[in-house]
Amino acid sequence: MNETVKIDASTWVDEYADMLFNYAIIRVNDHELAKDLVQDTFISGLKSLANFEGKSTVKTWLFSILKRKIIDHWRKQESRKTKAFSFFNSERMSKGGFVEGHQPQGKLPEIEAQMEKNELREALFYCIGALPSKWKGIVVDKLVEEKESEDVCNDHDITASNLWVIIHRAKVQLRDCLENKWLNL
Amino acid sequence: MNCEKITYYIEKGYLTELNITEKIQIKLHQLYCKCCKNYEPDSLTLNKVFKLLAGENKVDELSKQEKEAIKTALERMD
Repeated sequence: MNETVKIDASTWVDEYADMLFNYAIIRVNDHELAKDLVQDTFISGLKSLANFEGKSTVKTWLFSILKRKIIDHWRKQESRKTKAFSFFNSERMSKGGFVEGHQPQGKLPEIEAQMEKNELREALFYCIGALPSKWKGIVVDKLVEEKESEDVCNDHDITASNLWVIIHRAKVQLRDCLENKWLNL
Repeated sequence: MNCEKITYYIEKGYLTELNITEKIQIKLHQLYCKCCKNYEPDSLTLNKVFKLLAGENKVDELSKQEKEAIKTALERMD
């Protein structure tokens, strides 16, 4: 590897490490893992430097590498498959109603005042972590980072109605998770 | 009893403008359904707390040493 690349690599760290780490940490919630993902992103970036034709900015290009690595991580993590749970009844009589034991109690507004507590943040991350891997990126983009719906749809290659369906299912699960995890201790 | 549909409308309403029929269906259903009445404030709370995880409320950051270690690792690459 030549001299210019070495210089680039060092300035890359100064310039992009914080941004990349920030992006990774709210998606994997693990310091060491996020750090490794950032380092791996730089390594992949350097290895494939020849493929980088300057069509996008270095920043965009590094982010696209990191995003792929995070998705790979989520997929690996999910290999221990849990059966999809439905929060709504499917029997004829009570079709579409909330399943017994998972009915919203309306208690979540109590937690807002407790946001500074680290345990609550951990609970929120835990609940995001429990979502199916294909929803996670969409949920973090939309609910945590509040990106425009149009951008989220473009980034994840889904339609607006796909987004509504995914956010609905995810929110129902997140609500239930947080009620159990935080309020029913 | 279609909480699944009603909560879907509630969520859709946070993402886009609902039509009048959808809005009325939510209101009517909530008159007799405690679950969906409770769902709405719960869901609004989720919207508020999740966005607090991002932005200025930095969760964590890389230390100077860690960044130097990354640089060293990259320099060692061949």
